[in-house]
Amino acid sequence: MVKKEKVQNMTRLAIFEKKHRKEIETVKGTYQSDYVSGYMMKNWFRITLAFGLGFCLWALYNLDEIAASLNELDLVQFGLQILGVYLAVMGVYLALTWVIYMLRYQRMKKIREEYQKMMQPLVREYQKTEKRRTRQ
Amino acid sequence: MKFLLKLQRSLKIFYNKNAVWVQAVLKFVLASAVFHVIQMQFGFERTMQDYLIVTVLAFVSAFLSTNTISLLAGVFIIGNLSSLSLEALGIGSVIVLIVGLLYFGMGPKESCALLLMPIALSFHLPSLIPVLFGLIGGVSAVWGIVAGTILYYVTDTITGSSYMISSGTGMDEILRHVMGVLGELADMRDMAVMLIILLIVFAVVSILRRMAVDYAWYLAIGAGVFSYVLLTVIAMISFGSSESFIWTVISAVVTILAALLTQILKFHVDYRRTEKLQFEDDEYYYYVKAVPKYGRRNMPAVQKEMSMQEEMRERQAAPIPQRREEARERQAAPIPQRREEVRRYQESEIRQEPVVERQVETEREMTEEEVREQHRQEWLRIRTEQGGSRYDRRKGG
Repeated sequence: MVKKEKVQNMTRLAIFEKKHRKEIETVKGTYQSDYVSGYMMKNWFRITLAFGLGFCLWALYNLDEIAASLNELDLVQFGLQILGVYLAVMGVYLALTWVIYMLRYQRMKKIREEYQKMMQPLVREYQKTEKRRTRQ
Repeated sequence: MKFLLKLQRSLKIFYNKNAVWVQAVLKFVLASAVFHVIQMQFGFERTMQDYLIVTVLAFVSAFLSTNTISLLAGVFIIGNLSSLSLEALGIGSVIVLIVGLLYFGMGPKESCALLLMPIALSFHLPSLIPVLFGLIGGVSAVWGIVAGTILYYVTDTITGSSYMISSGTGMDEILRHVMGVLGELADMRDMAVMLIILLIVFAVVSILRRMAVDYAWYLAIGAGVFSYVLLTVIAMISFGSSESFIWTVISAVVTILAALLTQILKFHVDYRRTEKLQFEDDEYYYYVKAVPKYGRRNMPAVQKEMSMQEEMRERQAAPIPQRREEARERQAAPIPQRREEVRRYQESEIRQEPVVERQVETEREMTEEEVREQHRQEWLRIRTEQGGSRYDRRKGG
């Protein structure tokens, strides 16, 4: 026999799962540290590539000055300055990445907790059914 | 007001029935607007071929996510740059790539702010997007606002540069053109000022909207628009910004009207849609169509309260053997769970709710008044059986 309450619970769960499937699966399968560090790694590559392209544009813009001062240029000092700028940009961007993805993971965790709370009536229903079956 | 309520109800019904097509049409309109703005920046003549290209791209975009539409717009910009000159293609594509790498590194769920910002800027309504997204969006919209503004100004500068009129013939000329355009890009004071103004407006609106005061939304809208006008005037006086005062006022008025309309549509229209679901258990396969209801019951706070009351009402209305069984199971439950249930019961107002079922009424203890009323009814019944009072007999009753 079809139980109305059970179908209602299952329907609400299915709608919730359809809307938040990605968040539930992410929290289920990934620790917070793995999730955040994965995105930080990807952004490290992105920032390095973007910095490289930006540096090329800057070099093109200042080509005359660089060409004129090439003989007197202290390459080590110049390299350290570029490295300093790179580390500063990287630090800011990775800090933002860490904050954003950590907050996202916390939000996904709350969604999963709400999903588990919604599952409770259905779990109790299944337990009751099991008990009745074992008594019979 | 009645017209607004009827409009809201019609919108709800229409959206719930046609959610997929409504979203597709909205994305088609958004994509068409974005591609038209890009073409306008490149100064293309309005030929049939231009309209056809935009229409086909917009039709494809109607079934894609906004992130994919923004990628498509980036490719469209690079494609149009190739029609200008080699230098424009080189510089423009590098800058679009840098902005794309930084923007998508933040993992945006959608790119509406990125797509709408160039449209707003081309129509001289820059305050519209930060105010609207400050009201309804999250903090992540700031990336879209920044990226959209940068792409608009960069494209505008490259297409408007005198170095890009024709492609260089030799390496020297190409380098000269590249350095000239890069110099113009490095000197985009208007873009820097606009970015600062938009970020401040967004921050003001976002912060005020979240405050726990009455009329927080109206306060946020007013403060956002006021700060936009004030900062634009300061920029015009101090930095010689090229913004026009008349357009600033028009932008402020349009922003206020759009924000008020957004408030009506966001809070009073239920955007849940009909869901078609499929699941199974040990006994049946279920094919379910869930259609959202309308009215007060669908507001989240009332829904939570109603679900608790409904649960208790159903429990009280259940047959006695089932209630005994459930009571036994509740007592067998662990103590923290029972404490939680008692706490939930005490928080709700179930005890003051009238009990409807006749079966439960017989088991409830009767108050003194009800006992007295019951005795009076019984006395009236007996007197009527005995022929009524002497007064009734005198009157011939």
